[in-house]
This record gives sequence, C-alpha cells and structure tokens, in this order.
Amino acid sequence: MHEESLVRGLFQQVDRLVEKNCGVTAREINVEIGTLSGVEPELLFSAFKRLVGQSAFPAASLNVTVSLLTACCEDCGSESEVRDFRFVCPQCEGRRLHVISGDSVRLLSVVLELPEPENSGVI
Amino acid sequence: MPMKTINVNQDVLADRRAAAELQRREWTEQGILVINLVSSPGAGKTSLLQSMARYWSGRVRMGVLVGDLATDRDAERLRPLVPVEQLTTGGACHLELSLVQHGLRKLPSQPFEVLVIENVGNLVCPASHDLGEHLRVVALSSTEGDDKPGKYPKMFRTSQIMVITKSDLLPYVPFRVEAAIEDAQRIQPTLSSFVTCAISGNGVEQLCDYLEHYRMQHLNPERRRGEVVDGRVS
Repeated sequence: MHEESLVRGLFQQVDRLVEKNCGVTAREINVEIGTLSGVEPELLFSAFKRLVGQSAFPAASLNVTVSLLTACCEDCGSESEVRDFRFVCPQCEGRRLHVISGDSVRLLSVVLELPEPENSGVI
Repeated sequence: MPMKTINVNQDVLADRRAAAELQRREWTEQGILVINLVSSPGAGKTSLLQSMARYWSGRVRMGVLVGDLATDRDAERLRPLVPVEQLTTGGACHLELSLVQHGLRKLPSQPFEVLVIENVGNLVCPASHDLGEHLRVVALSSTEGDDKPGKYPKMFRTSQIMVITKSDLLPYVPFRVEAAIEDAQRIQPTLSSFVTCAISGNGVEQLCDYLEHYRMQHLNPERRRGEVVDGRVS
C-alpha cells in the first residue's frame, strides 16, 4: 500500500504549487509512472480516490501515463528500451546500463484554477 | 473561471530522496555504515542479523533498527546480542526515513560502526523508499525459489548485495544458487552475492568481512579521524 504514501507526497507538491502560483485550487494532476517505478497505476488511482476528498483540491482529477524503461549503455553509448527488465545492451551486450527514464513516478503538470480577475463582470 | 497549466516534470519522491541523501552524507561523515536489509517475510533477516552480531561480537559495534507491522518479537530476539530498537509501522508496508530517524534517537549505546535497518518483510514497497543507506542488502531464502529476482525486479535492481539464506536446506529444495544469481544479475549486473546459513554461521564471515572492507574503503573512518586529530588535509 505504498501508493497511499506516494499520493500524500504528491498532494504536498500540488499544495505548494497552488500556493506559489496564487491558485484557488488544482483541477487536474498529470502524472507519469515508470515501468520500474514499483507503482501500479490502478493502485495509485484507488489511493488517489480514497484521499483526494481530504485534500485542498477535492474535485481534482488524476491522469496517468506510463513511461517505458530506457537506459544508456556506458560502454557504447547507445540508448535503448529495457525489455523484461533485462539490463543488457542490445547493441554491444554491455551490462553497465544507466537508467534514463522509467524508474520513477513524476508529476508532469498541474492545471490550476485561478481567482477571477477583479474587474470581471464589470461592463 | 481562468485556468493555468503549470509544467513541473519532477520526481514525486524528490523531497524524500533529497532528505535521504542528506542523511546518508551525515552517516558517512560519522563513519557509520548503514545497511537497509530487505526480503520477503520469513526469509531469515533476523536470524542473519543474530549470526552477524555473534561474528562481530566484541570487535565491530553494530546497532539494529527493526521494522514490523506489529509486535516487538524481532527486537526481543536481537536484544541479548546488540543494541536494538523496534519500529512498529502500525500496518504500513515499508519503513520511511522519518520513522527511522525517530527510532535512531532512542537507540542506546551509540555510536556504531554498522547500523542495520531491518525493513518490513516485503519485496515490493520498501524498494521505492531510500532510507539513506549506503547498501541495500536483499535476502532470498532457499525455500522461496530461485525465480524470485525476475519477479521483483525493482527490489533486485536497487540492491547492491544479495544474500541467499538457509543454505542448509539447499539439499532438500529445488533451489539452484547459480540460477538465482544469474536471474538477479540480469537485472543488476553489479550485484554481489553471498550464500549463508544463520544456524551454522556458514558464509556469514565472508559477508561480514565484505561489509567491513566496504566500510573501510568507502567511508574511510580512520583517515577521517586522522584528519581531525592532525588537522591536516590528506
């Protein structure tokens, strides 16, 4: 159930963004989950649903995209997708691979609701 | 109502990673080798620690923080051998740095040369949480099967050492040590492997000597101490 802990961390980040940008609330939270992040999208969704009601943005929606696991070979420099978690370079069979993407959960963007401009409604 | 999209592209765990990095640097400065010991439940983490404590007794000062969902049974087993503090997560499936730091404040007989954080038995969730350790050690028991590394890639990818435990049972179970090592090294090619039996102590000496050597090489406490005494920069 570490998805709940992750969602709490996510909410803290969104809270700070709302405050920093003088927003009223957050409407949309866009997240990317890596194949090797150790997080299941479905479980993240259910944790989000359970906890969003207690947050400062109860009407916010969560959008998730899944990112592939990619790595760079330290021997030949080529970049490739790591399939089946087999960390071997498809070009040179090298085993010293550095992960480029797909091993974390990233907050991509947040759609904020801003306050109405002060002169709104004035003819 | 006006809307605005804020682009962030930041790791959700960035704050916790930064806190873990800070803690790791502090432990390095203090010359304390910190190990995050992970495994599935019942793989023999506590028995391995008992065996390590016996091997290091009177020579290497070791402290243990032990995490469980409930009870202090593991701490009770270790208490006759080493200073230990039980961390009870109250249902959470993994340890987080804040809980570790809280427990550390209560741990008696400091300072240590080696601090082991025995994580909650779980091969999934603890993999995502950096506790500021220098080494993540994953224990895999012979009774679990040699196909586990491939099934839990995140845990094996983020570990530096694999300890195959309960080697005394190898003649009775279809566990092939070579297959387990090959499977794990496909995910983490630089993984070091050890085979141990906590009851006889077989293999524990090699593991402990490796850890001591690692500490001398990477934390270099003797040189650090020398710097303070002599006031020289080496």
